Amino acid sequence: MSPLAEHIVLRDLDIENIADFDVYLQHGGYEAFRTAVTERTPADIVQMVKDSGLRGRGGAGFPTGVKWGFLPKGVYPRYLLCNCDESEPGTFNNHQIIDRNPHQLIEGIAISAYAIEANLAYIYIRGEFAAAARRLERAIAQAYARGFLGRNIFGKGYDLDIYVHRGAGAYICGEETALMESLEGKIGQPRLRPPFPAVSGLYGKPTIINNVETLTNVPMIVRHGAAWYRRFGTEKSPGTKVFSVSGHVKRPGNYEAPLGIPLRELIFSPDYCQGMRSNRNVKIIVPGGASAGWLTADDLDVTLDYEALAAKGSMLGSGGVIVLDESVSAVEVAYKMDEFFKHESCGKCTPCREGTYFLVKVLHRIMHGHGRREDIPLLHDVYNQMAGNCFCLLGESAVVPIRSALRLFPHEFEQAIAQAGNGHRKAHAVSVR
Amino acid sequence: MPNVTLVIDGQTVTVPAGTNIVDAARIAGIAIPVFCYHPKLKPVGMCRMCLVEVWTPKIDPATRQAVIGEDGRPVMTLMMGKLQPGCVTSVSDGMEVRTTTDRVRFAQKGQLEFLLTSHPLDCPVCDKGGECPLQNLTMQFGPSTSRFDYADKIHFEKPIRLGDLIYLDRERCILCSRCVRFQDDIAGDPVLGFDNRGRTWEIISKSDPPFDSKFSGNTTDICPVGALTTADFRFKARVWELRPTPSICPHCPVGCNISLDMRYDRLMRVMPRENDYVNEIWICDKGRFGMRFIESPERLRQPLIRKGDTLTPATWDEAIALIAEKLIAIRTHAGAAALGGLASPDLPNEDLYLFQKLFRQVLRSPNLDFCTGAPGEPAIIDLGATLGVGKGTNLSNLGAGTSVLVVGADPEEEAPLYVLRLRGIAARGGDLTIINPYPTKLDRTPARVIRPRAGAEAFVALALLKTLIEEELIAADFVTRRVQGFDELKMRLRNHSVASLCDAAGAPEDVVRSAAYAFAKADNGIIIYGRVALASGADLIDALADLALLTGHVGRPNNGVIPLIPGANARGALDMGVHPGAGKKRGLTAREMWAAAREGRLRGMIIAGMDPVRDNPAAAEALDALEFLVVQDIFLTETAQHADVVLPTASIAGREGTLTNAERRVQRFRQARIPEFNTPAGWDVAQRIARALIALGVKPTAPDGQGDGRGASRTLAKTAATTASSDQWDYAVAGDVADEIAATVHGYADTTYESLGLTRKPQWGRQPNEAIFYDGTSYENTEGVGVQIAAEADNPKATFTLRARVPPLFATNDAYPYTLLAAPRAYDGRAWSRDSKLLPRMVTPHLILNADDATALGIAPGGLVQIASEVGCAVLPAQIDRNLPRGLALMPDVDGAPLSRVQTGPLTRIAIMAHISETVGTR
Amino acid sequence: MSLIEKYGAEIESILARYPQKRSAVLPLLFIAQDEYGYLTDAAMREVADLLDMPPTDVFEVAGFYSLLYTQPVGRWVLQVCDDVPCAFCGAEDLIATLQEKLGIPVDQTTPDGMFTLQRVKCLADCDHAPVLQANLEYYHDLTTPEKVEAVLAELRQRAESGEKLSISGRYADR
Repeated sequence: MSPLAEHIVLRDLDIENIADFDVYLQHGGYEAFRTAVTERTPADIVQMVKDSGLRGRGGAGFPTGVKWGFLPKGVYPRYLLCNCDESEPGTFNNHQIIDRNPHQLIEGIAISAYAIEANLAYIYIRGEFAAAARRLERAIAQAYARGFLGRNIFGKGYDLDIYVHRGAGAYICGEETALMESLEGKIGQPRLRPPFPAVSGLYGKPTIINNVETLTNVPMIVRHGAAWYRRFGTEKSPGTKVFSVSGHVKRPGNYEAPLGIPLRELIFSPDYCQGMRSNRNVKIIVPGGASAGWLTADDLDVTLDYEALAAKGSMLGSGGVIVLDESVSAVEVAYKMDEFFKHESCGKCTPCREGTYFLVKVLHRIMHGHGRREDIPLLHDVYNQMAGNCFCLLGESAVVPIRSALRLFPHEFEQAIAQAGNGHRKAHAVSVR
Repeated sequence: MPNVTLVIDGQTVTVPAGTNIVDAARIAGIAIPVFCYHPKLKPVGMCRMCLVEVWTPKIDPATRQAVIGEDGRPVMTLMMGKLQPGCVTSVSDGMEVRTTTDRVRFAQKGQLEFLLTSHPLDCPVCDKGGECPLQNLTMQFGPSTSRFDYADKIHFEKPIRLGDLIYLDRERCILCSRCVRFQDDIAGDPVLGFDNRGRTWEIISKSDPPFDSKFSGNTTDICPVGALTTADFRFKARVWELRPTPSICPHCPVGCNISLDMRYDRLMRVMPRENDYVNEIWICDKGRFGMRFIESPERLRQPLIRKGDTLTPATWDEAIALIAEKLIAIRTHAGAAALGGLASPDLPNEDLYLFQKLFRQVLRSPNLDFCTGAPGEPAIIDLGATLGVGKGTNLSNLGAGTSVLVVGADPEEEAPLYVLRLRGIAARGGDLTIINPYPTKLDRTPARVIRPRAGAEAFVALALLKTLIEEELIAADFVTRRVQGFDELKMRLRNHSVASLCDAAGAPEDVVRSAAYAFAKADNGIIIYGRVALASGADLIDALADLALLTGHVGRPNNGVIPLIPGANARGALDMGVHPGAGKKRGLTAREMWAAAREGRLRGMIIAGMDPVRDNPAAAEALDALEFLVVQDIFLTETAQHADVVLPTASIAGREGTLTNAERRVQRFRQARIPEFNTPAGWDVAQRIARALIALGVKPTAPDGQGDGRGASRTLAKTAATTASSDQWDYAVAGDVADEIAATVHGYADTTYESLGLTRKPQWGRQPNEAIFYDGTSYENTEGVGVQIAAEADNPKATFTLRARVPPLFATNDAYPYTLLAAPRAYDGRAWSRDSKLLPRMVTPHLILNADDATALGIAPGGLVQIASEVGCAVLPAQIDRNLPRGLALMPDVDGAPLSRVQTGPLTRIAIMAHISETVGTR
Repeated sequence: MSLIEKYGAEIESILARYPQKRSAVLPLLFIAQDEYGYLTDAAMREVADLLDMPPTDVFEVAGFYSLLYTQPVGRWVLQVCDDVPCAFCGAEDLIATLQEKLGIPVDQTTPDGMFTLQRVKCLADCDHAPVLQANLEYYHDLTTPEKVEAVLAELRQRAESGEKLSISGRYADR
């Protein structure tokens, strides 16, 4: 599959300094928004996005236009939330979009807000993106100054305010209802569903929440049409995806590619990551952030789209592709990942709060040469006591690394346990530099 | 709501739509284990203990019809392909729930194993042990051993104080958030929260003082583990040693059902007892922690007789003989009208009944009151007997369709449980209007708040009436049948507009109109009025009566008026006739008695359970002018120190009796222990005096009729035959008095101890399997929910006359520009608070001022202020409140408050200035 | 000086963004911890008062989020991602170097109050692993002790130059 001639999201790769407001305007910036407001009804835009087949890029992959259609008729105010709480380990594409192409995101928010008839939108950005948040605020101010935001936009009576709201360090706030709680000034814990956000979201009002990458696609869809968009990707997964590739590849980074690109190509093609660092073999590939099931070198021919990855028992998720070579221990990778989930568990439900703690304790002792024979069945039990039983997906995600590790690399656990008590001490994380 | 039929563990159950699976199972008698769920709290689905298999019929997306399998039955699918939390999953038709499959058992065992990873298993030293849901569910559903290393548990410093009443043991906490949700949702005091996150989550309270809530003790009940314990009970006893005795809280007009948990004859703890009509499963902290006085070493132990300046111990025979002799002497030389009696509105019905009987029938004096006669004490204007909420009222069922007006009341201070009940009504969709001249905590409830000028509350009520008339919101049919004087009322209001009346009240017209509309349109309408309304007086209360009448919100269950009259049994005092207007011949009020005593017209008094001298020097002066004073009490009060004879009585724990609450529910409390120091119940004291008088030749009259004088005609043959004839004074037990009350007091016919003991199979009664939800919380009510007696309006033939009129405006006085109101306080520091853990929370005398007024007057928070009225002055510390209206000053009515020195009436015009302390010799 | 006296205009503009006041709790806590060095008890109560929130709720929020500091921290809060993939790309070496250069273990503050060292979870800059944030500004390419030393010197110099520092990242620009 040849690389994109022109990017849809990472247009900073095609156009120098597109983060600059004037450059963005010179390249047709805000024309899509103008067209939408002056020539199209909100329903037209919703239909267009529906037709494009755009699916949520934040992880769940739900069709964006369909989601917008869930809003109850005639209930106002409505809110649009842009989820930029990008915290999934191995995922960093939103970060680049905001840094290098912020205006396209803002235009995407503006068009989407118009489409769902919202007059207020918040960008919930993780607290660590402090500089990015300021960059976005400056970009928003520029849009206000040109009359693209504020009152009576394009003289059509449409009002829109966009504000940046910085989180303060909590992965769980990427969960859409936890994000709303956080934005309401509470601790970020997920809410019960139903009611769903489209019916009762922020401040109890109908709310649509979309990921940064999803919204950044919208101006290009409106500009070029749904049919054009569908030329990219596969039938069920149209469009492109920005893959954040990290780990032991030669050239880590964000790569926008059509959905359906083979994993092997992304890792080994000279157009993308150019193969493995130190020429070691691939051991573990996590294709969609830490919550995605692990793949191995045997899976390199899978294509990166929603369906193919699901069929492999994994997921496209956030598009964070972590590639680890044979220098790593599967026990340690599982430990590090579950330590992440333990750290980020909000505390609300028992299986996630206690289960992650339990898993990390057992993995820690196995890693450090104190494993016991009964630990392997115990780990299976603990994650099974969590799986399907947690309040939200965070706890369910914590099951994934340990289950993957035990399924794919059982011998590593057995070996670590067999060596326990023989003076074996696992070294700390390996550095390959 | 339509019903839904589903199958749970093979059993077919039909429940209202919207019911969650845990509740549906409860109805079917199936226990799904829970921790975070509680029937009284909104479900949150956090603890994951209630995971069950939920199977629903498979729906064909094309036809939207259920898919039928080869066996002719619907094909079932497991909802979402995984277990579902029963507490947050609603039932649907055709659903099948399985709660005992291997998959469910594995999950239940798993959750318990998880919960126990953070639990210290210190049951042998835990106060919850023996009534602990975690213990119980672990035994029933949990693993027998833990695979989590004990050494890996997170250990915390053992209990820390969450406040001065509640301790938190963080190791034991399973983070179910019941306590937090109780405080947020039920109590409306959001003072609990969680610090940190994940596994390090812990409960915190950062209010000032910490855990600042009058309902904090309830969190220890609903805590499903021993994480929250009370300072009052911890390490006192094992719960299986306790003998719970059904009782009624003697602290306010709510009449919460409580249990005095005794070990032998010592009170170990007070717990709520379930009664959905009164307190659901809650009690306030005053009820829970304010009962230590019964074991106070300061309790009176024997009669005292004055010898010169000292009160010296005497025998009962000596004391009673002296009393009889002195009372006869006074009656002989000054007449029966020279005798008067005051009895506390906290006393049980049996005491009050015999007290008035002693006066009316034996001493033949009509001078009876339950008031103290203090200068600021408002007249008691009662709408409860006439327009009180209808028989069968149950506030805990009310929500959408109900409108409540809370007028001139601070329920949190006067009758705390009403805060919970009103919040409950609001949470269930009810409409609430608060009319009060100053902010109260009830304002936090979603409600319409109308803030009239102090003293002008009547104008709000009149504006509401005028709105009803103008907007034709009158219940015409009801008014035609049962209300007189409507045309006259319209005439009296014809020159006033809603706008002018609102203006006179200082209230926004649109809000008043919306309140009138909501109240008139509601299916059920209730008016609650309290201390400030009584201070406002008859102009307001007559208008409130007319509001209830014109809207037809009387004479039916869940409709009518609830007066919050100070005292745990003011309702009983009114009904038993302990007030000067109860008999054929009008007697003296308390205030008139003080004047009569000073003038020598009143010579002898018996004061029962009341301390009128406290904070009122004028009463002391009057008592000193008497020839003879008898005081009966449980403590040597200030009043008792003026007595010639002091008689000790038993506390509520040492005897039995009945109390009538604000909603006219007569409730029985049982004897929890042998009487302290062999002290008699109050009713027996009256009996002993009466017998001594009769033995000395006093001839009792026939009953002159108690209450409204109609009681005598309602004597029931059944009881008359079995009780002492009314002039015999031959009562062996409290039940004998109660039988006579039932036979003679209007409305009390159905209140024999037998009737009061029935639980009447209430709908809310807990199921046999509900230990899961309630173990360690309130006790089940097995010994009677009481009997609500009818109001006059419950009689469909009773008619009423409208009496509202437009009063003159409360006069301003430039010399005294501020209005002083006494503000009731639950934590008033009075006799009940002895030895209580609540002592640090007692309110000390102070004056509350608006922030701008304080600035203008140069008064700093905590600084001393001097206040002066036409009759006197006082100096006390100031507290600044930015939300108090300007021009208003509140003085909490607490122990030591100098109200009687400055008050000219319930509403007093005062001047305020910063107090410059005179330089007194230092060092 | 209270927050409202010092930052009145900024606070007003923050409050204007939200239909409900308490939504402003995070931005106000960011201001408060910059002003007072960390979230003191009094600071949290001050924010509660500004937002008409129960104080307990503000403490709850402060305890929940990792970028709100309820214990004293240095003028620079150094945060190293030790998550996957950084953990396998040199994060542990970087942490070891920082501990050595600063003379403190993780979660401690240098005696001069200049630096606090923390391990944190993924900072969404994985292609630059290992990743360091100093007051939420990104620093990459810290592959040798010399480079680490240079960054620490730069940060020290910035602090000493009188530059306004924000542990909340309110002035972050990289």
